[in-house]
Amino acid sequence: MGTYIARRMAMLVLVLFGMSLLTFIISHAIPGDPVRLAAGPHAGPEQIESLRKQLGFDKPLPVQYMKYMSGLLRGDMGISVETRRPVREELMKYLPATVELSIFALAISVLLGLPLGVLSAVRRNSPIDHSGRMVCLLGASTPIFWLGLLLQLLFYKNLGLLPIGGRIGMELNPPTQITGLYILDSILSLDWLALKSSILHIILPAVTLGYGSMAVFTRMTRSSILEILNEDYIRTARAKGLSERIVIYKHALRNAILPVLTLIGLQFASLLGGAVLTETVFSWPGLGNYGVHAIMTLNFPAIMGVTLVITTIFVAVNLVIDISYAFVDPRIVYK
Amino acid sequence: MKKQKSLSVLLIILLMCTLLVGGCAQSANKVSESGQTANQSQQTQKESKNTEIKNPDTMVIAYDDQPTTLDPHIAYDPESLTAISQVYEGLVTYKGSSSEVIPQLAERWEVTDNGKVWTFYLRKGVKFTDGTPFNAEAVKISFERLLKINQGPAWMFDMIKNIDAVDENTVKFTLSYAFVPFLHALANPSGPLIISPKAIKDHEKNGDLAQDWLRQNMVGTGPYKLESWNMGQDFTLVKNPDYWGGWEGKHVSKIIQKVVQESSSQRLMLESGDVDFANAIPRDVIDQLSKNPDITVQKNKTVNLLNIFFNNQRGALKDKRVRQAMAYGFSYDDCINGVFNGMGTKMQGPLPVGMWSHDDSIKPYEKDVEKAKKLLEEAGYPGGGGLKFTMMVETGAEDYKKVAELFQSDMKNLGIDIDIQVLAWATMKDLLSSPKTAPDMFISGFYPDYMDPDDVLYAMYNSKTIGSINQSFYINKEVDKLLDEARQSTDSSHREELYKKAQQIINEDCPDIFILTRDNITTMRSWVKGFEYHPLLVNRYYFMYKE
Repeated sequence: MGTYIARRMAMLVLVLFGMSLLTFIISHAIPGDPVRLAAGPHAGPEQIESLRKQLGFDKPLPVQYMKYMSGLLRGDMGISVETRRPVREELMKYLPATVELSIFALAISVLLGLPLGVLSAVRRNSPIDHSGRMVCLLGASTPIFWLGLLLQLLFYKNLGLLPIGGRIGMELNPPTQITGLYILDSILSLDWLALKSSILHIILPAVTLGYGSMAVFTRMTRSSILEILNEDYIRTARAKGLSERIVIYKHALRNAILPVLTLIGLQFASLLGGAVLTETVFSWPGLGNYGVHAIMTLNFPAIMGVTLVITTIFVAVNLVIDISYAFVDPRIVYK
Repeated sequence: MKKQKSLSVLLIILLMCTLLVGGCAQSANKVSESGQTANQSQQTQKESKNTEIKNPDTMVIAYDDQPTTLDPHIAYDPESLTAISQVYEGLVTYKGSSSEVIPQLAERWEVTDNGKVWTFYLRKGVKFTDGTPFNAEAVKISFERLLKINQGPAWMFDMIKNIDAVDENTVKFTLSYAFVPFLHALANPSGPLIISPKAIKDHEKNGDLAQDWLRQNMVGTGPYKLESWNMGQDFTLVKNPDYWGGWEGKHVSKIIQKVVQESSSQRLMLESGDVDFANAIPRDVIDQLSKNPDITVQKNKTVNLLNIFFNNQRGALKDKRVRQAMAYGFSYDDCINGVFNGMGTKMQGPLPVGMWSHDDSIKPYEKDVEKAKKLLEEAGYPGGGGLKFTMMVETGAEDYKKVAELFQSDMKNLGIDIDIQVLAWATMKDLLSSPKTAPDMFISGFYPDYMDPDDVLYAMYNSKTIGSINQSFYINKEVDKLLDEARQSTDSSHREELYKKAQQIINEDCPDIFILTRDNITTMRSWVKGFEYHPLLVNRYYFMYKE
């Protein structure tokens, strides 16, 4: 197992290196000049050149890349062209917001999706299965944007129950930053007001973001269990008189969970990268928002930063999922 | 049996979920379909719910973006300037909603006859929020910093040769040439603001003039000071109790600038009273919103102009008759009423109507297809002659795209083919740096920094500004001469004459299609009092309160 993890970590470094090179080339190949934009509309050639020099964009591309990579090894991700703040500092602000949102969205989708999938499979073609299918169909086909607006209308405007913008009420100060995840931080710093406000703020965006994934989990779990239920060993289990509950939860679900586990990993990564719309609708100060803004302004260092962070998380999550296979399925052994 | 029961419970829950989603869809339909009625009923409901003023001592402003930087010598975007203008002050400012320049940190000023030396006598007893006294040295240090950083707003002051702190309360600016609009440039909200010299000195790192620190910290003399900035979320200012202007009368003691990106969320929050101002309410819901008694919609004339810029150095576009033909072919009224819901004023020549020295005798281009066809024929392109142009529009600028499509269909009538390309602004800006890479034409707005024709005419049509704001690459030696002379002439009636002459020539040359100046729409809660719109300044919340 140790060797396997080490090998995968080495792969991660390779992937990151490839990714950085690719992103660097692509973002510089797009015609456009972020410096000209940042220097202001009236800036003359002299002003633009001086800012270009200040930001280090006057050097040849290979030199810029080398400089970027050597900085990266020291944890320096460059300076944002737009705000002139270190990209690392900005990512530290925006990344936790997206991670927190994605974790909640994933939790909601797994906690609702798995049981619903199991039920739909066990009670195949029953009213439960049909309504499960309805919910999934809606989840898979409702545009996030629309769902978000709908929830805002219902829970903010009509019922007045939940807030609709940001991570915490503006009358409160965010909890002391420890992890950057407001809910966790407010628990750690015993700030109950902040905890309440953060939870209220995350509900709507998390439901909006998680609903689509929930539909995917439900369908995947359902089909996976149905497949397993036809296996010989299930028939054997039933034949030897095991209760249906044990057959389903101990024998069928454990075997059916493998593909779902893979899916959880992939979904988490795609939630992280795909939260842009939800973040926009709910003014959630996350990575997606930051990334899109960076692309619109061709802010190279920020684009690089976002891409590298998402790649790292994607690869790391997949590694964790692969390792967890070994625990779920004793037949799998990594050598 | 037990299992069956739990299943039924689950089934009921699921059905409820489905109904809930269905119910949401219905309630949304109600708003969009029956529009007014539903809206009114919601208002009635709200009236009973919202009679009490929310956050009476705090002004909450919803912005669709956050400040880029808090450094007044770099900032150049409205979100940053809104924050900055409540904290920092300049030597002079504009009075109310007029273009009259009045004292702020300076009490009075004088200028020598040749227009080159400006002396300002400063207000005494003013302190920065860090306790540092405000004096001539502070003014000198701030202006030197602005010029040394040489970014964003610095271009307005490149004629400053020397700044002398004559004594504690007198500062003298010597200019390299007579620049008559200097006072207006000093009144504009971006750039000429005074930062505490102690803050600059204390936080300087490797000769950066404290740029790193001042990006997220503020030390000014204004009515408010920075409390906190949660990046991407909100930005809080609290009152500076020692403000020299005092706190008598009605004011709010806190200002929160909150990021609400979605315009529909902004609307919901404005309607519920959670925010007092919303900056991104779309024009098409303004009429509906203005029927709500809790919300005030104020439309104001601005100098925010919109043009179709021609590349005056490219092929057939070099010929003024081709440009004029296209200007005669455009449906101005359809554009103003259709695209901008009538919220704008048609341009009459290159200078916004209402700006000092505007030439009211100019005959603006009106749609006249026959005249356009005749001009094309004279230029050697009968029936359009297979003319084909590319037109660039910025990504996300939906209004501009609609204008482009209108223009495209108008030009089709003249036999001219327009190919619309949508590009990111960063890309466009790069292409626009030279006539060789610039597109044949593009649509863009322009917002002057100060209330003087110099900032429109010199900036946009003097050949010296090619590569920055003269993006039509328009060169006319006579216009150059008139504009150069006008910015240095101290005789105001002579200046006016020069500007009028320049406007006539530019209008005749038709380097751009002058379309309209767009109205500014302020949407705010009706409990906000003391609001006064100024076309150049950002909102000054010190003068506002809730009642």
